[in-house]
Amino acid sequence: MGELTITHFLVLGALLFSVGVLCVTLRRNAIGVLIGIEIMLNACNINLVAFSRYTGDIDGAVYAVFVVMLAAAEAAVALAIVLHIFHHAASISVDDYTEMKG
Amino acid sequence: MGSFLPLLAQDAPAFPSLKADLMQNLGAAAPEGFLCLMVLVVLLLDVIRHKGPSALYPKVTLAGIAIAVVLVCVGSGDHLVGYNGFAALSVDGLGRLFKLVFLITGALTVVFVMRSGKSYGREGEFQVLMFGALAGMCYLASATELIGFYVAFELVSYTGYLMAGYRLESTKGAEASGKYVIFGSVASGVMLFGITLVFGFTGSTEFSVIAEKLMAVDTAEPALMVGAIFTFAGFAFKAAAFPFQFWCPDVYEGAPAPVAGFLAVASKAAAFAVGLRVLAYGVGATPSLDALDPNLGQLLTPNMAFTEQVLAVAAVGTMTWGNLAALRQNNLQRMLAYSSIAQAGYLLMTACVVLHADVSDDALAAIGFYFLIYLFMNLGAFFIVTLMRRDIGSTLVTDLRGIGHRKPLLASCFAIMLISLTGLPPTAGFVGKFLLFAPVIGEGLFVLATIGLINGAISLYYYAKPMREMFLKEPDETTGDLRVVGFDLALIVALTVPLLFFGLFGWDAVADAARDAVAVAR
Repeated sequence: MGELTITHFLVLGALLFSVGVLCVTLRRNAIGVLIGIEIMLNACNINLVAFSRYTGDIDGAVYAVFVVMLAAAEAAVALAIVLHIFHHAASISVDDYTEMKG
Repeated sequence: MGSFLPLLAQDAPAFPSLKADLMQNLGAAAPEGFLCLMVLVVLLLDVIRHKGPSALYPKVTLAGIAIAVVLVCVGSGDHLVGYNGFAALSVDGLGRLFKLVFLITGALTVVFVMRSGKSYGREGEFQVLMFGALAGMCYLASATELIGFYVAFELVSYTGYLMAGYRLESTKGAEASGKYVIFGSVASGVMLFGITLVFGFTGSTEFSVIAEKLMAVDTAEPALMVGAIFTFAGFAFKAAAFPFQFWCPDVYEGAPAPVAGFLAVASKAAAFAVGLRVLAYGVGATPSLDALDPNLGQLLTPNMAFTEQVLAVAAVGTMTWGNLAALRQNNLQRMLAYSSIAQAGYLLMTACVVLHADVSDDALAAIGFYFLIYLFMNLGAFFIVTLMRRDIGSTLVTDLRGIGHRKPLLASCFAIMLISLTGLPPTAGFVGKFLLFAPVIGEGLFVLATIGLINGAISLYYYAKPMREMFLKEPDETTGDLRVVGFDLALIVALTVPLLFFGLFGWDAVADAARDAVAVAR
């Protein structure tokens, strides 16, 4: 067993990203879907920080800070919209948002 | 290659040059900076006044956009702005052209909202969102590196999500903004994962370095390709391109019609502005190929050919899906949503040949010019929908029955917009389509061009449907009447005039001007 290499971090990032995608596709609850999206963003952060550490360049870490900030903004916007839908549909299940079709 | 944080770099320059650089850089980002400032101004104004509906806000917004247009126009030259060798922003023709498209679209959207006859006492918030969206879009048009690009991209997305649900009492509006925010966030998450891979395997956040490495002959790094495709997915979502177009009809139908028009033109143009810049850098990055053997002409590297194939598949899928699905729509707003998908397909078709060095500038010019006229015809059509919603309360195609007999001028203007969207002479739409197809045919992509032309023929069927209702059917008692007089009518005529003007005069002048206007700073 050697020490940790960048591959380990990239595999972790890819796995976490897959978990996020699964969460988004399988969850029927809008809040659950949003949590899935946050997991995807955090997988990206792992990649960014790992690359940053690997190359010794600070760009990736700076990028990760921006992603954290935008993820917070996104959560605020998305939760406000889900709350707004709840006022109309009285449900947070994504299966109930089906007024428009075709 | 400079670092994003210049002060940490070994060769950090002395302080006086920092100040000079700062002033120059602030000047280069003047339109974006001003728009961000306006976000704060309107937000404060909204908090201080807080007296319900006011006609003040649209005026403030229009004045702000006018100043931003001036700031864009006074900026000149083609150069990159950055720090310590790190290019963060470009000041060039391509950026200016797209910024004008965004700002004109934004101004018209604000006027449409004002004329939509709906007032909820929250005008201030809408203007804040509008300024935020415009600031993000303007930054996107000149961004040359990934971090600034990502922040601006998300700014455009978030304001778009909120604007789509702006009509609070509308259930459809809530559903539209919910679908938009969920699909949009997933798409941007996928894009970000792609970006991290691209960043990691190219080692840079600068578009020029990334494009160079992506297009180079001998980098068939699988992880890099996966990253590039994931990144493309984010762009494709924003531009509503196949196979990421599924959200588009629902969002455009549920959103208020002026907002749908704004998203269909400005949001799409923003995605194209960045995508075209990356492609243009890709062309600039491989100048040595001609030198290898001049007789071969330009050679596409395998990665360039692959990019071209991906874009071609997306183009064919986008235009065909959009046009076929539009055929069976009875709701005019939803039909226009599908039509805007199809239009993005034609633009993607031309984006394919941006990678061919000899027609690259023609293709860029054609896309830029097409957005400029698409703005008038598409926003005009969405304004008609806005007025239908206001006066009739319904946006079905059959609600237009007999309008041509009652309101000949209005119906004629709408017909000219539809003819222009189809791409038939003597309208600007024909000139635009001609310029879009010319480089594709010139580069010998006949199959792609043929599919494009067949799609144009299909689109005639559904664009003709409203015209048939307006002119060939007699009005009956049940159909409501559009009360379009005075300012509304003048606005519609004003949107139609450029379509006829560009269609009848100034062919060569238009093409030349567009070519000069889209210079890309490298």
